[in-house]
Parts: sequence; structure tokens; C-alpha cells
Amino acid sequence: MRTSTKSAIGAITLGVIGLSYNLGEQAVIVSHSFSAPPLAPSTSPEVSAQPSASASTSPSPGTSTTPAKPSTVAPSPSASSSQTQAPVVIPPTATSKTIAGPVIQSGYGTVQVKVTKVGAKITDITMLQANATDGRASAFPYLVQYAIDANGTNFANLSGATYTTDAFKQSLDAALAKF
Amino acid sequence: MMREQTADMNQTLGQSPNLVLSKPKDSVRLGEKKLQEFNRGKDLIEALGWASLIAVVAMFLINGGLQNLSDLGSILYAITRLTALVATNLLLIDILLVAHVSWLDRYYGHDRVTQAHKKLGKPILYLVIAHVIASVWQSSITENSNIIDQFFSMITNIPDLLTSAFAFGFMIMVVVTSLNFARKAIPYEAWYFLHLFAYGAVLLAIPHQFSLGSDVAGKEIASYYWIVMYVFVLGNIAWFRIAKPIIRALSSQLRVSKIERTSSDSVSVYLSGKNMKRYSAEAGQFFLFRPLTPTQWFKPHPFSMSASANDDYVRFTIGSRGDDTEEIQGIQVGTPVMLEGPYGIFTESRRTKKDVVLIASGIGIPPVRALAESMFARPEDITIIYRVRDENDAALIDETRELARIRGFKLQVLSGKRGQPNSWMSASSTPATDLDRLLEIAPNVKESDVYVCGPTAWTRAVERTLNRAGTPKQHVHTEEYAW
Repeated sequence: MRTSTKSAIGAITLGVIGLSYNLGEQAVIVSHSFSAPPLAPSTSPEVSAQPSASASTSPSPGTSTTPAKPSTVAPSPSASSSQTQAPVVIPPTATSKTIAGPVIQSGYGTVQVKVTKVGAKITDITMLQANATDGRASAFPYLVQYAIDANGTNFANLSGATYTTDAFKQSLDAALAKF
Repeated sequence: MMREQTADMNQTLGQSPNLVLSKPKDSVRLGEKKLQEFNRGKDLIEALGWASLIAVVAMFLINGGLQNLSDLGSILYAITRLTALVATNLLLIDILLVAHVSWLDRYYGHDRVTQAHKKLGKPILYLVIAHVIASVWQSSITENSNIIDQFFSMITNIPDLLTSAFAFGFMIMVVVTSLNFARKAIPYEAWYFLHLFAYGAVLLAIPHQFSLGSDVAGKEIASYYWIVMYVFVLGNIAWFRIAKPIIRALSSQLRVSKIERTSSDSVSVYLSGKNMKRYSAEAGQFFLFRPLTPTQWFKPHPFSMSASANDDYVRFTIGSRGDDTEEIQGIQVGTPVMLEGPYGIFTESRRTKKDVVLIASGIGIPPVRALAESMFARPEDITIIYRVRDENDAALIDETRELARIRGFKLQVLSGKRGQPNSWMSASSTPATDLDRLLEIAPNVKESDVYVCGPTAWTRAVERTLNRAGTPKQHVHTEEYAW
């Protein structure tokens, strides 16, 4: 490489590295080894923002709305309070059923979930075992919320708690498979 | 003036019963601007490689990779992630370097690309070792277990880590068998076979990157980046190393059509087949040559063309270098062969000066002979220096003499034993140095493009003399057979 190109690229490199570090600093850090992306207001904001509108447009008048319960293991971050107000539309015939998943070793501790489904919708997830060392346990409220929002395991891993996320998803998947 | 001379040459073409020459090129671009364009291309390629590294590091930092490094565990965790990202990116670049990609070859030449590939191997392994140790250590700290137990617990309990452990083992094997002492100890075939496991290592390591990688799994932009990288690199390999040579081999069905002994230890091998235009190459380039016989097909040999490309045949002149070349010399007429290439930048595409000095030693003559045949030149533009042990028994010496006579080039044959130690010339009766003698043969060497082909140590000696003569480095062109 020619010297002029080298110095130009060197300068750009320093700039990019510095900027990325700053962006990283601003990222939401939940625990020292685990940064969760901020919880989105909702996967369907128009519904949660206007509960009355959604009720009136609802096809079946006899539906009841049940707010998803916050996780039972840890104090949920503030974001989840607005999150959990999303109305859940349940067909009249649906019955509630609860099944526990297997115990999964994450490499950082054991994870086991219990899922409650009403019809096709996950309404509650309880952590029967929620062990994760080194601050990773703070991931569980997020995982519970994500799983309820996604109505399954199709959500992104939590940075810094990949193994824990994985174990959570495995236990949840196995439980869901039994419905 | 140039046109007159070309007309002259056409007349003389048919006059030699021993030697049929192809027409030389009818134009050449000279001047420093040509060189600058090459340098710009190189800068762009290197900048792209660098940018890919910066991109993964930047994604890591944006992801908060270096935040809250409060204790040993979190520091190890950051090391685990960063080493994995950098090593994977470098590994993909390293594989690309050996994919025989034509757009890299055009700028750097096969030898420089292969050297870069070799250089990157060890640093990548160190990064991968650091990644493995840091991840096991960190998890043993958080689990309060010892490192060995933790390692086995991780590969058995965590999905995708068992395949990664195999990938790690393959990588160690590939690098260790490529260290100099190992290369000397094991036969080429065994080394080559083991080296193929590098691809296995890459493929086996992919799943854990996408399922467990904190900076990849669930990260949309990062996932796209890595998918693009893998598809790009593996696609280049599939095309340049596998599909292209096979398609061409099937369509041309090359066979040995003629064998000619050119000296007591060298033969010229002519290859012909259908669609010979597919093998059009620049004079001075080489092909990887595979005789398709049960014992030889997996051993590619780099041979330079010893005559300009033409529509009838590709010709190599093969010396006896003490390895398989002896066996290749015994090849029979009719043997099917496969060629990969052409490769190399020991060509007129690097010429920027009017004057050219071509210097060859022994079996380094083939590309020099081809360059002399194809270059655009007035008679006084080209000087050929051919260093041989015995001028009555040297590869292509009669042809080279005839070619120089027909085209009017100056040819200096330096024959006999070496003079001074470290001299690249033959012994002389006068105390003149190599530099004095070179300046006598080629007075304008400082302002010439110089092409040097011969054994490595000899080539270095020529380069030292050229340095003393004041020929700038970018005008000295060498090609070594690098593996």
C-alpha cells in the first residue's frame, strides 16, 4: 500500500473504532456481561395504544382480554409494564393449559420453564429454575417477555447471555411441543 | 518506424526452418501512469480487506463489547468474542488468497498471493487458540469448575460446540503440518490431503458462530455480513478452483501431442486439444499442470509456457529439478492432462519502460524465451542474458539464439562455473564485478524493466546487483514458484 493510502485508511480506522466504542457505551447495559436491546413498546403498537378501538373492531364480541402476566422470577424492568397491557384476543372456546419444559443446562446454570397457553397464545411463562451465574439471571425477565411477545422462541438472542437464551429456548420449545 | 520493423519480422518468420515464431504484440503501453493504476488497484483490494476487519471490530464495539470490563470473567468474555470475530474474518481472507482468484492474481501474482496466505496461517491459529482458552476459562470461572472438566462439559452439553472442537483440532493439524520442519518431513501428497481439512474446519465452525456467537446470533446486520462473506469466499473457491478448471478440461480435452528433448536434462512438452483459445495466456505466465494418470492427477506442477500462446498448442519446457519433474519428463504422447491457470504477472503487463533486460538461469529460461518472442520491441530494446552451466547442453539455448538472431535482440550467454562467491555470473578472466559486467552488457539497465527468472538464491544475487545499478524495485520483475 502506498503511504498516502495507508495514512488515510489509518485515520478512518481510528475514527470508526472511536465512534463504535462511543455507540457501545451508550448502549443499554443491564448487567456487566449482558446488554439487552431496549424492549420495543409492542409488536403491535396500534393495538396497545388504543385498546378501546381494538375492542370495537374485534370480530367476536364475547372475547375477553387478559394482560400477559409479568415474569415471576425477577422484578420486571419498567419497560414491561407498558408492554404487558397488550390485549390478547382469545377465542371463546379456548381453554387454558400449563405444561413444564425439561431442565436444560446452559453452561451457566440450569433453566426450566413452565408455559401457560390459552388456545394458540402463550399467556404466561414461569421460571421453575432460573439459574445463571455472573449477572446473566437478569436476562430471564426479558426472555419471558420476548417469548410471550413472539408467542414462541422466534426472537433474537440476548447479547452476553447467549447460552442462557439458548437453554431457555430449548426448555420452552420442548414444553410447546407437548401442547 | 515500428510498423516497418514488424513488416521485416513477418518476412523473417518463415525463414528459419528450425523455429516458428508467433507474431509479437503490435502495441504496448509504457509510462509511470500504468504503474500507478496497478498500485491504485492494489490499494483498493488491501483497503477492502482491512475494511472487513474494521467492520467486525466496529460491530463488536457497538454491541458494547468493551463495556463494563470489571473482572477477569468479563475481560475473558470480551477476548473470546473479539478473537473469534477477527480470526474468522482473517480465515476467510486467508482461504480467498489460496482460491487462485484471477482478480487477485492480476494485481499481485500467484507467488505473492501464496506467500501472504502462508503468512496469515499462524496468526489465525493463535487467535483461535486464544478464543478457545478464553471461552473455556471464563466459563470455568463462572461455573467454579476446573478448565479441563469445563471444556468437556461445554462440548457435550452446549449444542454446536462439539463440531467446533473438531474444527479446532483440524485447524491445529493444518497449521502444524504446514510448518517448515513438517513440510520437509512429510510427502507433498500427505500434506495436501491434510491441508484440505482446513475447509472442514471452516464448515464445522460455522454453526456455533450463528447459534452461540454473541455478536452474530440474532444480530441482523452481523448475520447478513457473515453470510455475505461466506458466500463470497466459498463461491470464489467453487468457481476458480473447481468449476472453471473442470469445465475447461472437459471442453478442450487436452493431451500431450509432442515431446521434444531440448537438452540432456530438459524436454519440451506440447499440449493440444479443442478450443485452444481458452488457454490464451500472456507470455511469461504459468499453468498448474496435472497429468491425468492414476499416480499423478492429484499433483499439480507449476510450469511456465516456453512459447507465446497460440491457437495450436501450449508448450512447456520441463527441467530436472530433482523432484517429480523427472517423472513428468517421462510422460507419454497421448496422455490426457489438465491445466489450471494461467497465473502470474511476470508479463509485459508490468512493463513501463521501452528498454527491457531479460535475465534467466538454467530452467528459468522458458518464460524469458516466451517474453522475448511476444514483446513489442525494436531490436535494440531487448537484451537477453542467459546463465548456463554448459552452453552446449542448456535448455532451449538453440531456440533462444535463433530467436535473438531473427528479431535482432542482443543475447549474452554466460556459460561455465560461477566466478566469485555470491556472483550470479560465470567466472571471468577479469576482476570486473557483476555490476561492471552487467553495465557493459546492458548499459541502460537503470532505465529498463528487468525480468529475472531462476533459482531463489541466484535471483536474490541478481536483485542485489540491480539495486546497485540503480534500477528501481518496481521495475524489477521476478516470479518464484511458491506453494
